Amino acid sequence: MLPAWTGSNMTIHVTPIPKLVSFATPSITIGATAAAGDALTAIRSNSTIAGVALVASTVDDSIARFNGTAGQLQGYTSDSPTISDAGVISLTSGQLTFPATQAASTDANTLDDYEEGTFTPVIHDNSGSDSEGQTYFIQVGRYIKIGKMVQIQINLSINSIGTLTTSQIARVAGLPFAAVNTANVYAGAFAAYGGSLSLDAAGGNITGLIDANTSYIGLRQWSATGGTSSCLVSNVTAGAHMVFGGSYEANA
Amino acid sequence: MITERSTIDNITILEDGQIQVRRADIVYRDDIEIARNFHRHVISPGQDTSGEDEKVRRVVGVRHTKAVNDAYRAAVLARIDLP
Repeated sequence: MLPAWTGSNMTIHVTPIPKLVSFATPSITIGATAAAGDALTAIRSNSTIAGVALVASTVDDSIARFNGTAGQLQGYTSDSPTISDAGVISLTSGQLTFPATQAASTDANTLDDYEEGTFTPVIHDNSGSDSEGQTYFIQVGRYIKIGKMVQIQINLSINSIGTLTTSQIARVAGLPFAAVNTANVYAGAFAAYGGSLSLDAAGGNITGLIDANTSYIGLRQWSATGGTSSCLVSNVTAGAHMVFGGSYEANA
Repeated sequence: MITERSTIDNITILEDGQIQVRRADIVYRDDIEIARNFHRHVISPGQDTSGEDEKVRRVVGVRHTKAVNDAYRAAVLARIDLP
């Protein structure tokens, strides 16, 4: 225990390593209410922190944070996230930001990504080529990725299918991520709108299937009674307009 | 002054050779970033990349070898399409 000290400065030498700790009056208050400005103000040479001050918290369970501008370790206040005694983290204000580049986790209970963005939907045949003279009136694609789950919205209005092979399955390609590579895993895209299509059966509906390890929607069409069959390029002629929504599991 | 810059800021190569590309469209006001939007697409082995950014084409040139393209093509053909 240190002896009572009445001087204006106190210096403690720590051995065997000669580290110096120096306090300027009234630098530290223990066991009493601190006044504004009372602070540990100097951690000298070879320190990575030029100044540290403690500011009292006014929020129960709040998380302390370091304010680099003020050089203070703060018990934060009304904007503070909190952790309850039960371990519940609450964002009472503010946001939760993930790194721009995903730090992927293989753990089933770990949320490791969030991203919003756009993509450009296109119409393809089996060749997967953008260079067959396809032209469009509208190409809008938006995505939100949460963990491995990708939610997509597509608005695609086709001006011309160019030289696409009409006997092949029509694909809406350009999805932002490849689907998970697991055999026999399919995801669905539903059509919320269809216009100027040439479906095989009266009363038929268009729908879409996202196959494993692909980045396109293979178009399907419902017949009146028998389920789905392939929706060919010939069913999606010039002027066709489709609006899709859906979600699928990404590769990572 | 408002300016905008686009850059390929993320390229992810999947095990089978598919390449996920992210373009960042960044808006600046007086050289300070005020907005950033992402645009994505996926390049499959063997796919035409003539319209891609040079940085992407260099990655494709390294990763999409004939063996990778052939393996991917074989995997696609081997996939059992639903009737």
